[in-house]
Amino acid sequence: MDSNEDELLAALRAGSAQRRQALALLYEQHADRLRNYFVAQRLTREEAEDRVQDTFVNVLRNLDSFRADSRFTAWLWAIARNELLMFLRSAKRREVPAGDDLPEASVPAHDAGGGIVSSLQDCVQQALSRFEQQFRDYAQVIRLVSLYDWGLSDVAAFLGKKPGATREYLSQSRKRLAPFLEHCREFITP
Amino acid sequence: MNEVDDWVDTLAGRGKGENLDAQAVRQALQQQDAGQVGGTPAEQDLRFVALLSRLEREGLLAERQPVRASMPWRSISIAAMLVLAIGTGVVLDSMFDPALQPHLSANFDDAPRFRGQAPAMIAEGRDAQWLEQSLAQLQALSWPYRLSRLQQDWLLEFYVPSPPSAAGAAWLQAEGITPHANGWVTLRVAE
Repeated sequence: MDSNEDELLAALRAGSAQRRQALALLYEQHADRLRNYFVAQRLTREEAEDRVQDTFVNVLRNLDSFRADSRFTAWLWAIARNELLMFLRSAKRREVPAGDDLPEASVPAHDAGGGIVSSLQDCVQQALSRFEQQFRDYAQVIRLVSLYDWGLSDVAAFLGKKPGATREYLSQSRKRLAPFLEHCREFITP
Repeated sequence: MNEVDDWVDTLAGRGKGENLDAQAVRQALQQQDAGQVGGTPAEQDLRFVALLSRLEREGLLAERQPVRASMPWRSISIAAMLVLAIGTGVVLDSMFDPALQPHLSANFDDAPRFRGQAPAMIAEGRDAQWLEQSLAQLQALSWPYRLSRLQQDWLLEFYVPSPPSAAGAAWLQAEGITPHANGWVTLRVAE
C-alpha cells in the first residue's frame, strides 16, 4: 500500500465524519470506473448502479478484513468482481460464455468500423475495443493494471488466484492480446 | 525477470521502456479513461447521495454529525460537501425558506427503502412556490418526503404508497409525475 492508501484506509476506519470524507474521495476515484466495468459486463445502467452501491457498502462492511498484502484498490475491485459474479450467478444472466473461455482468438479484421486509422493511439484504441469484445475479463485486468499501476500481487488479489496462477493468467492475457495489436506495429518506430 | 513480469511492469508504468506494445496499451487506456465521464456532476452528486442514504440506513455511517469546515480534503468540492451534509441527514435549517417547512416529514424514515434510488427527474418549469404547494399536498396525503438542497437546486424525494389514494393519484396525474417502480419519486427543481 502506498501512503495515500494508508491515509484513506485510516480515515475510513476512523468512522464518523472522517469516514464520510474518505468515502467521498473513494467514490470520486472509483465509481465511474466501477460503473463502466459493470456495464461492460453487460449489466444494465440500473443494475450497474446497484452493483456500484453494493461494492461500496461491502467495502465498509468488510473493512476490518482487509490485509495489506495487496493495494487497497485491488481489494476494492476484488469486492466489485465478487459482486458481479454473485449477481450473474443469482440472475443466471450469463447467456453467452465468457470470451476468456474461448479456445482460440479469432481476430476480426482491423479497422472493422471502416474508419481511418491515422495514429498508433487510434490503432491501439480500436484494437483494445475489439479485444474487449472477445476477452472481457482479460481486457479488464489489463485495464486495471494500467489505470492503477497494479503489480502481480494486486492482480492476484483481484482475481483471487495464487501468484503462479496469476502469472499464467497474465501470460494468457498478453498472448491473446498480441494478435490484436499486430497491425499497429507499423506505427511503432523504436 | 520474465517477459510477463516485464510486460505487467510496463503496463503499470514501471517498465524500462522496452516493451512498446505495453506502453502503447497503457497510454491508450489512460487516455480512454480520462475521456470517460459518468454523467454530469449533478448526476454524480445524486448517485453519491443515494449511496450515503443507503449506508446511513444500514448503519455504516456512524453517528450523525455535521461535517467540519476545516477538513483537509481539498479535492472535495463545496457542492460535494453540501451533498455529504444532506446525504448524512445534517439539518441545514438556515438554507430553507420558512415556507418550505417542514422539509422532512415525520414518517420519512418509515418509508420502505430499496437498493438503488429512483433516478432524479428534472422538474422543468417548477419553482419554490410549486415546492411549497407540493409540500402541503404531501403533508395532506401523509406521504413520506424529504426536501433538500443540491447545489443551487432543490431535491424533493417522496414515497407513493401502493395503491395511492384517489386524491394522491389525481395529484400525480395532474402534475405529470410517474413514480419509479419502487414507489419513490425524486425530483430536482431548479431554484
